[in-house]
Amino acid sequence: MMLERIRLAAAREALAERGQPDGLIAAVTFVATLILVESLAVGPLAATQPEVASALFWIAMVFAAILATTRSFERELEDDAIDAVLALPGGRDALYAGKTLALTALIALIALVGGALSLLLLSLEVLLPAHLALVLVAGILALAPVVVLFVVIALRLRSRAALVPILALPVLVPQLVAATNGTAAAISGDAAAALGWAGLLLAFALVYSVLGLTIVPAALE
Amino acid sequence: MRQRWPAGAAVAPDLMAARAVPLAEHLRAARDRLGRARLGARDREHACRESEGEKPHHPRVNSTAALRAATVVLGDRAILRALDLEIRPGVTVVRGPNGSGKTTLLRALAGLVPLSRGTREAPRRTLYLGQRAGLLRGLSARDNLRFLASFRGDPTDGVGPALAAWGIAAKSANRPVESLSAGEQRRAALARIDVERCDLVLLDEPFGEIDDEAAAQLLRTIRRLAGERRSVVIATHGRFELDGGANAVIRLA
Repeated sequence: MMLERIRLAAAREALAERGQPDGLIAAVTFVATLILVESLAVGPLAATQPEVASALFWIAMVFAAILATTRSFERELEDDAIDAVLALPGGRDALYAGKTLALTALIALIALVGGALSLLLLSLEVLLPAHLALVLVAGILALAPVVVLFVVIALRLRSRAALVPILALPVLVPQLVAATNGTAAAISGDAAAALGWAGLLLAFALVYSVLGLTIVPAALE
Repeated sequence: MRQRWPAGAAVAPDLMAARAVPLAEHLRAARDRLGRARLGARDREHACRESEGEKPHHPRVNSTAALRAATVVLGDRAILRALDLEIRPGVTVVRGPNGSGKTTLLRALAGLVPLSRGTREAPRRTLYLGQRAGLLRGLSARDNLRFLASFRGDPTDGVGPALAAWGIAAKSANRPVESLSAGEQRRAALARIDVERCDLVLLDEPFGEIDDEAAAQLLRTIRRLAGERRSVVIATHGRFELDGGANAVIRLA
């Protein structure tokens, strides 16, 4: 029953995003612009280095994920739609897990666009594409639970738009470091390092998913 | 019944002991009768006493939901203080001026606000309809209701007929809710009452934004729910005709 509820909450989120894709459009536009501006700011030579290109990509992804997640929860607050779910039995857990699942898919979509743009703009040659895909998946899985968790914690606060990045970014630093190093290792052909960082990212994903499921029911009150 | 004693008779100790047993039984029976009479009177006066903020002193056997010594603090303000409330099948009307805590009371019953103190008892099948429609934008009214029914494990085939019964045509039901008027959104939300069939229905200002026809339908629905021995709690400023058929009218100061 719980898994069915999570599936329903994820499907509801995906349907709502399809019907009103302003969060997705804003996040994709933001990622594209940020990668372009950052690569111009650091210069074309520096931006093509694997470490720099990876860092630019993941910094853009973190902010895009916060943007898309915040927009998703603002949609819930309009007309108090969130109350209808929270008042249902098991609603809190299912809402968090369902949102995290749906937003993971949304962030993956944003990452596809951002990754393709980075490869094109920076003319990057990826030596280990399969490892790169693994690190990307692990990085996205580690990103979504943390961002959703902090958006939920700041949900009822008026200044949540400013607070979420302030609260989430310090916690996201280890994921950012691991994802950047893992991506750089995959681009430059270091398989062992890429796998190691991917494993660390998956561990982060697990820890924050469990933490979110523990904290969110209380945080949503 | 009065106990008769032989006047002026000298009573031997063994006779006293023999009479003491029926006397004790008589006193116990009289106390029980008196207790039952008081309990009945309290039942009749329940609504009045709750209106005056008095605490009920006896357990309710038929209650659907209850708040016991419930205190709700929002920010630095106690909205509800040590409130004892039992909701029984039928209609309960909550009245009070703006800011008196009507919405907070309903949200507390729905489990949407944490109690700083006290306890809440509510059935698993509780439906809360707040002052706003509570429908997710980007989804159609039909999808919103289908999702909420599925989440409870209810069949979704009643969604279309329920929306139609509340005046939402099939075409409108398939449009995103943000493209519907406020009244249509409200009616779509009210259709949840018919789809989810809950034991406790909490309605916060349900007559806002709806036309006379929908208001009449809502009154009929409330009466039907009461007839089905479901509990309906309505927070409202107007609609004083509800008070006549209500189990209790709670006035918050």
